[in-house]
Amino acid sequence: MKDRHNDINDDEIRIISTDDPVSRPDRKPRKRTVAVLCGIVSFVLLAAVALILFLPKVTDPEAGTPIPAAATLKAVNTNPAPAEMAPTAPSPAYTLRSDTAVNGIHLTFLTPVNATPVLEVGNAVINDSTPVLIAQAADIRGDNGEIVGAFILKGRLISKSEAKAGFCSIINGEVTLGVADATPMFEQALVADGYFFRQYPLIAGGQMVENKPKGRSIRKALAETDGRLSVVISTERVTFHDFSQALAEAGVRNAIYLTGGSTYGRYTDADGAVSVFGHYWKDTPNVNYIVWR
Amino acid sequence: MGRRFVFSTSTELVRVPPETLVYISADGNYSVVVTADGERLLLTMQLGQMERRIGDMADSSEHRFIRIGKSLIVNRDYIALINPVRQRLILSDCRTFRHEVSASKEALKALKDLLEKEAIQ
Repeated sequence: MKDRHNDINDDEIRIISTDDPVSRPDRKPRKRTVAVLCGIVSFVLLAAVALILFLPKVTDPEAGTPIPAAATLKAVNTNPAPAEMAPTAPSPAYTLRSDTAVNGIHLTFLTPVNATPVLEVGNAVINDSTPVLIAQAADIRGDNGEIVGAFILKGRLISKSEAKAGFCSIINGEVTLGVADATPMFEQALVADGYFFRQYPLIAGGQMVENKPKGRSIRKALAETDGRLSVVISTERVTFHDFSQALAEAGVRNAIYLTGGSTYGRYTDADGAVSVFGHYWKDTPNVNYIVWR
Repeated sequence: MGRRFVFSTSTELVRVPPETLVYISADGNYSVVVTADGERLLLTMQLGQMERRIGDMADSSEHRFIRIGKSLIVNRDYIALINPVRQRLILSDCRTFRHEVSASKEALKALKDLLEKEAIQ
């Protein structure tokens, strides 16, 4: 049912009071509405029961699933080592690099192993040798240097607004990528001292999400493939569309954008070798990173 | 201590005396409550939910708050200037604070007409 409190146009005003017809609708119409709603709900329930009983079962539950309109949520674990490689003692964290080409677009997958991500603000992490993977996360506004979209740092809201529908939350080490204008993960991140940022959605449920920017650039993504989380980088300057298409064809199930171009990033492989890509922005207090240790 | 409006979400609870609430603006699915001491409180509630809460908590004789379009609820006690042509609405106590907000020309014209009629009555 449409919320009558949201039923107002930009060229209208109304006085808010206890006898406001919006706040206190007449009882007779309300009773009628309730009766009609009960009828509709009963009919829908009966139809649902009939469908469950008589429709043949689908063997692949995800076959032909469209992109959900409101939200796509996907919980992602923090990339434990493959079972055959996991000894009983705690394993060192490192980043696994793999390169692939899809439709002529070269993609580098950086997959952290035995590492947990957090968000960090500021360039202090540049001089920290403990992370095994660093990538810039939320975009920074060019005019005032503020973070674009909501950003929660260890339970503290340091930026608000909803510039982009894609989001990443990290709560108790568990990463969730999704597409939603409003998500309970935002509040959970606040409550649980978690992390949250927004970016362009690229892939939701294995399907591309179109974005407005049409230019070409080095593109980066935070992507989930079969439950494993990776930072994916295009080696050439490509459009959002081509990048998303390549990710989808590479088997990515969910992905949001990470600040692209020549932004700073770094990873450490299993041998301890450190590789740096891009360069960091000086004098940008809100520069922020997703950091695995 | 006088009566307070209470806005509660799963993460926090805000208690504001009605007379200190200057305006509430929509920010996507959230609302920003601006009070007379300059505080700006972000609440994870839509403006429509805020309006409902105010309607529920207001006294029967209270007509202090006005919803203007989709994005604004203002306390009429602080309306200091309405300029529909320039789409300017200034909220001020004429002493310590002054906030300029914007709304559509039509809504501001309707607000001006309303306050003019009330002034005549």
